[in-house]
Amino acid sequence: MKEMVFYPGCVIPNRYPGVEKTMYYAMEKLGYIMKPMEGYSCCPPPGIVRSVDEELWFSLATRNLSLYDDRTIMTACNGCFATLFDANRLSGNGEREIRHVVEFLYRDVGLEKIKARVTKFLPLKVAVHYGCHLLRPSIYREVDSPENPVILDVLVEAVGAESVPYPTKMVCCGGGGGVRAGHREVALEILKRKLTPLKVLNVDCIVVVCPLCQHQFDVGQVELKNEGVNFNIPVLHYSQLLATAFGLELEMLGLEAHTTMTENLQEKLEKGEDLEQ
Amino acid sequence: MYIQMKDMLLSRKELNKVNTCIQCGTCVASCYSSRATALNTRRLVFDYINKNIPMHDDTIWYCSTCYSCQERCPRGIMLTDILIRVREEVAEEHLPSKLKKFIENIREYGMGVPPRKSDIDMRRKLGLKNYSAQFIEKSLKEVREIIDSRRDKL
Repeated sequence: MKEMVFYPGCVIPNRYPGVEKTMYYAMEKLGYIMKPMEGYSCCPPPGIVRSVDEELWFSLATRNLSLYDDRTIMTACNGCFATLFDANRLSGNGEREIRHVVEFLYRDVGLEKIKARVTKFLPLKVAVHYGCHLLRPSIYREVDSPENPVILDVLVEAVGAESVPYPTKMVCCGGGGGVRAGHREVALEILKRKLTPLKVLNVDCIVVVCPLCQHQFDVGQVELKNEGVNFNIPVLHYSQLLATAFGLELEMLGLEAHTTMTENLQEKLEKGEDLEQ
Repeated sequence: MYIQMKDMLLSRKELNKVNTCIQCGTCVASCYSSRATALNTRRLVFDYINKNIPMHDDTIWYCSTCYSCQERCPRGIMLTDILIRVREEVAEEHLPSKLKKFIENIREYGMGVPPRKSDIDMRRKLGLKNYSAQFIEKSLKEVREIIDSRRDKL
């Protein structure tokens, strides 16, 4: 077993605790012990805190970085990844690496090892959403193509799901940069345009790798519904999908926290495609 | 440390690249916020380099910082980072009040998005410990000291 530190951020523990649960579970199944980063604060997000005071942004971020000496800090949020990655780069600590779970799974763990651990393949039709700060600015991130990425598509396929192409795949969720917090109506308008092409594709869910995107999609759909625009497409973090494929019971995914959920998705997650059959 | 960090995030050289803008419009064509709002990065840059009008427009707060414009700019101008820098310049007067609340939350709880009772209950059900600065007195004190040391900016 290898050790690393897990930095969960704000939105995962306080809106979608199931993502935190599934991160610990899935990573342990793959041979990684993640230590919780005790005493951490908000990362803080560049769109909000860096927009007010760059030094405050940097000071809070480097405080988080200094809490543990381990080489690897794992994240599961694009915003936390971006802030800690950039602050680490600027502070010039070459020994420490800031990782995002999706690129770590693809590059360090590998598809074969993931497939070998699957006990329940999930025959879902999904729309993947990468989110912005995982990939851009690509000169620093070097995760995947900023225009035509593939890593999340192949990772959902590794657990038996089908990733469907859709025209707004690379469109922003609309929630970042303080837009959802500061100008909700703008965030919802971007979201509506993002989701409209999915209406005819009958996907079982959207798969994200960032809890801010997840919150914007999940709660934003309820807000759009109140305005008479109905999509009803549930949203899962990849870690929730992966942990289910690795055998975690549905009750431990924290699905009660999701405001947009369907029986169809829960049935498919429960049943899967049994390997014995 | 501050000047060095600021310089590394967006150096003077990078900032000056804005003057090489050829007004091609790739930025606004790539901008998802511009499809829903009046944000027009090309025009902001035009007014700045030709009329010396600061980019202090209220529309800069509609930018979701997706970095599509910066990624695609054929002149390599760090447009998103410039918009964030401009926001910082005008934040004192123009910061949307809800964003102010976010920073107050970090001071109060160590978290921009603090937990509600239902979140704490679900964490218990899932067997998750509470280990953020909110629950560790010494850590919360450190976070507050950092924020208070920047009070003049907030």
